[in-house]
Amino acid sequence: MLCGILRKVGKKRMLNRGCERETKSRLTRKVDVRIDFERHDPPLTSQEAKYEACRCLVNVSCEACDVCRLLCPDLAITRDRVTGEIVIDLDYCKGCGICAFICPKRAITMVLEK
Amino acid sequence: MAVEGRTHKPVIDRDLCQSCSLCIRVCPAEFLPELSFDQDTTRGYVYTNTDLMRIEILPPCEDACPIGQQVWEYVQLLAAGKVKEALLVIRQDNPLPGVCSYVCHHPCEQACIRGSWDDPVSIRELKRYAVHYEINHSEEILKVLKERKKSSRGKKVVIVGAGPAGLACGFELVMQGYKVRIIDALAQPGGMLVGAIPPFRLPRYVIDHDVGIIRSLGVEFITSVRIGKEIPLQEVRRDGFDAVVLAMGTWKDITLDVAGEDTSGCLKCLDFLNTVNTGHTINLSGTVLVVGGGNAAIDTARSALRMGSKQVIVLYRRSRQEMPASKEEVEAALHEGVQIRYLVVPKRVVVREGEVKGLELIRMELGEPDETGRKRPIPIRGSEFIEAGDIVIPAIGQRSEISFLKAESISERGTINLGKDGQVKEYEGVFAAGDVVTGPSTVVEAIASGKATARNVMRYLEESG
Repeated sequence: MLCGILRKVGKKRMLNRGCERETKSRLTRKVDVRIDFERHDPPLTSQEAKYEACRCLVNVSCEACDVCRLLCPDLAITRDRVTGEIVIDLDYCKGCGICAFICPKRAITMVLEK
Repeated sequence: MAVEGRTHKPVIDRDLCQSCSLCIRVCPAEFLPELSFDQDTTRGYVYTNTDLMRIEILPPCEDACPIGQQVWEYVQLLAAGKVKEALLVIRQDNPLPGVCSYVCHHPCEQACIRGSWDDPVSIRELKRYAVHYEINHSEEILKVLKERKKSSRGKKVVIVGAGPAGLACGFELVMQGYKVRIIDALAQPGGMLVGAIPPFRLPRYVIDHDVGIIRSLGVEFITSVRIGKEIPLQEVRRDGFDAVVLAMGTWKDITLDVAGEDTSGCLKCLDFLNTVNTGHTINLSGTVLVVGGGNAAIDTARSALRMGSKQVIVLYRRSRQEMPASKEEVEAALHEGVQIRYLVVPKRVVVREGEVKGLELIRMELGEPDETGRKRPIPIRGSEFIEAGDIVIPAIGQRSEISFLKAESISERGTINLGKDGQVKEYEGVFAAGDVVTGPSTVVEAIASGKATARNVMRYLEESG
C-alpha cells in the first residue's frame, strides 16, 4: 500500500525537483566466486558509502519544503526566485532557532556567532 | 478521556505518511515543554496520560529493527560524511555493531520504502563501512563509550553464555555501572557466532573486535567452563553475585527421528559446524545430503562444499518462498554449486553394510497455512524415491540443553519459562535471555532479548536495594 503511493508521490516529487541523487540505483558489485573460508567482498569505500547513503529518501539536505520560511517570526527566510533555494537573511534573523528546531531534514543548525 | 471543545481531529493516513516526524516535533505540548507538565489544562492532561512512545510512528527501518537502531539518522550522517558521529548513533542501541554489519538478516532493508522505488538502501553495507572505521579507530570510540559509562553501582551480575544475547546483556549492564562476569563453555567468547557461523560469512577479527570493546569496558570473561552437569547453578553465584542471567542458547541438534540415523555416516549439524569453524578439517568425499532450510542448513552445505565433497544437496520440505534462510545466503549457495531440492522429507536413511548410501525421500505438496503463516507441507502418497548420498547432515533445528533446571521452569517447547519481571520460574534472581527463551532465532533478535533482560535485571537490582 505504502509502496504504491510512494511510487506515485515520490516519483513526481523527484522529477519536479530534478533531483539527480535520488534517482541513482543501487550499487552493483562483482560477485567473487572463490570458495574458501575467507570473506572476499571488501567493505564500501567512502565514495560508495556516500553514494549509497544518499539514496535514503529521508535525507539531510534541504529540499525546500518551506516549513522554516512559514514559521520564521522575523520573515528573514525567503525563497530564491530563480533557483528555488531557501535563503536566510542574517541581517534580519534574531537567532530564535525555531527554523533549526523545526526543520524535518535537520538541515539547519545553530552555530555560535564569532 | 476525551478532549472538550474540539471541533476537528487529526487523522493520520498511514499510506501517505512518510514518517518525517515533523508533526511529533511541532506538537505544542512538545514544543513548549512546560505544557507537558501542566495537569490543569486539557492538553497537558492528555499529554501526560498518553503513552507517546506507543503512538509515535517511527520510520519503517527503525520500526522494523528489533533493537530499534536509528537507521535514518546514521544513514543521514554517513551521507554527510560524518562517520564517527554515525558510529556513535549506531553504538547507542547496538552493543555488537560489527557482528550485525555482517550477519544481521536486515529487516530494515525489507522495510525500506526505497525498495518500492528501485532497490532498498544497503543499510547493512553502510553499517559495515562504519564498523570498519571503528575497527581502525577503536581507541577513539572506546573513549566515548567510557565517558557514557555510568559510575559503579557496586552490584555484580554473572551471565552464563557469551553468545550475542549474553554479550548484549553484559554490555548494557556494564554501561549501567554493574560489575559483570560472563562464563562460556567454548574456548573463546561469541557462542553461535564462533561456533556455528562460518568465517566466510563472519570474519573472526570482527567478533574479536566487538568482544574486545566489551572486555575493555570492564566485563570479565571466563571461558571453557560449562554450567550444568559439571558445575551446578549455585556454584556460579558463589562469589557474591546479585543476579544470574542464563543465555546458553540452543546447542542441541534436533534429530530426524528416522530409521538408520545412528549410522556413522550421519553427522550432527552443530558438531560439524563447530569442528569446521574452529579450524579443524573433516575430509568429506562424494555426495553430502543436508536436510533443512534454515541458515544453519545453508551454512552446513556451504561448509561441506569447502571440505572437499563432490556434490552437496540441500533437502527442504517446503518451497523456496517459505525457506527461513536469508535470501542472499541461498543465492550464494546456489552460486557456489549447492543444489537444493524442494518439497521433500526424509523417511529413512538407506544403509548398506553399515554405510550410508542415501536417503529415502517422500515428495510433499503445500496445503493450508499453519500457525507460523507458512504453508503446511502434506506428503504425497506413493511418491517415495531414493536420493543417493554418502553423508547425511540433518540441520532441522536446535533446542536447549537445560535439564539441570527444575521441571517447572522448562516449557513444552524445551525453552525456559519466564515468570514475573522476566525471572526464571522457581528461581529468585535468575534471569534468562536469547534463544534459550525464544527458541532458535536470529542474531539481532538475540541481542534485543539480551538488552530487554538487562533492563529487567536492572529493575530487580534497584528494587532489591
